Amino acid sequence: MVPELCRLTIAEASRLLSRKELGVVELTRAFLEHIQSKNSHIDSYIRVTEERALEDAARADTEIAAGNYRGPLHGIPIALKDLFETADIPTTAHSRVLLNNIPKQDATCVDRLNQAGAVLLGKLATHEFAFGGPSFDLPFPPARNPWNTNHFTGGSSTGSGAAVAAGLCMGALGTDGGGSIRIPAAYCGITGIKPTYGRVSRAGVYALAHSTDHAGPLTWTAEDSALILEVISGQDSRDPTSVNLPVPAFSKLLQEDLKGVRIGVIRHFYEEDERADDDVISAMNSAISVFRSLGASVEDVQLPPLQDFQACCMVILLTEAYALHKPWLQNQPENYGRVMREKLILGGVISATDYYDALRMRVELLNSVITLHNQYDVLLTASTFSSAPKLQETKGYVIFSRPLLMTPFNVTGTPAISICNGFTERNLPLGMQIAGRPFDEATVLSVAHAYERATPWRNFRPTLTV
Amino acid sequence: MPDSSASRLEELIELAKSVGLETDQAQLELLEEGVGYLEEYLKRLEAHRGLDADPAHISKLLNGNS
Repeated sequence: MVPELCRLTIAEASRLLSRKELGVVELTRAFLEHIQSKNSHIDSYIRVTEERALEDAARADTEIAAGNYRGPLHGIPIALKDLFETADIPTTAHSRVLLNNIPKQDATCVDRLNQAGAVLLGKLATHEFAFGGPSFDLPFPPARNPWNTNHFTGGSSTGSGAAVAAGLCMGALGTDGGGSIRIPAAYCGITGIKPTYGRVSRAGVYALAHSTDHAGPLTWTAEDSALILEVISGQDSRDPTSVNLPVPAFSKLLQEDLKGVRIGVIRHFYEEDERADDDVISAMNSAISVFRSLGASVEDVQLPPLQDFQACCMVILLTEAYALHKPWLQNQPENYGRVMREKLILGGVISATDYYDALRMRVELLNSVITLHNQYDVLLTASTFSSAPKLQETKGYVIFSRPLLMTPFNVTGTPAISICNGFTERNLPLGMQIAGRPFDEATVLSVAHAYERATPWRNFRPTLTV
Repeated sequence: MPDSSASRLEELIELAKSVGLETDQAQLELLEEGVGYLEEYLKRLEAHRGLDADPAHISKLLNGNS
């Protein structure tokens, strides 16, 4: 069972902390004990920073007691996918290549969380460099799904998905180059948002593919994602792709009714282009009814086939990932896991012309999505074609065997959230995506929040059965 | 297997060897499967060739300046 304090959302805990009805050290100790008791079941943490967490917590208690409450993340226990650089704390990307890497500087996102007063519990498992996994030949084991530990968490933010779902942290940061925040969010029954490309700095975050990568939060609720996103967003001189736009107070813009909101359902992605499992389709139909009951208008819409987005995304991602890793891959191939090498080399046989063609196709695909947004505030589609598969079913090139429902929004760079929209008969979570206009995370989060408030799914936590 | 796929597979096998991957039957089958996926992707790109799209437009589209 998840202890009561570890079941609090960030929003609930921050209310208690700000009123001094809960201490940060008390809260942090509850999480550290829960990690000690349960992490070995799911291997979500590869490093617990207990001493640092207790120091952060004691400082936060002192500041809050003195009337210096910094805001909703002050005293909130969080954790980081081990791709985010942390000063004086090893950052390995779950790889032997970086096993002895101790950065001197925090990633910008991490620095912003520190400034907000968050408490760092530790570093979380990932696929090797966000791509090579799940794999058993790496220095750390792969994370397991807390709803059923024989099952995959989804990748690549594997530890982030597992830890948040199991109540081993209140929120986590992940990265998403082809679905890596949203897939674990869906398979682990939590909420994960990939913001617009440029909204959140990627400085100090190990890249998989520069032009499809995004950093963002994974949390229990959309409200909690809003609280983290408003802290980590904003232009950063260390990341030239970050955009100079005002950052809305996302958590203050959340609505609970959807009157006037226009939702376009990209049904052909999960019913025609590739057919999802019946329980996925049923959960999507139920969700559409909920959106209508909340006042939204909902219509089916048409985009190019999902396979076009997949082709475009994968050619770009594979090429950029291979180019990034080529020097290390040539000089120290033995330090990479087998899965990572098998996937990376595919990018080595794609020509420059093919890559350029993919970049041109990307403009066409983005145009098609932007055009739809003239009529629809958000687009809705499934997150995955099924619930989480068993870990042993994820071998080889299975990632390429079906298009990923996530890739359209890596191609477009537009914001997309995955939230839980039900469970299978075997108690595995299902997810759906809500995608918005560029830099309109506020509407995406608001629609997700309204749905979460109107449905019972946030009341269920995994019991960590094997 | 078309010539382009065969030469891509040959190139991939060389690359696999250079990064220390075994090239036993199971591995060769996996690499052949990988080339199959790549060819599918490239066929879709081919269908879009000829469109007058300039990749530089992406940031304008994303930032609402189209």
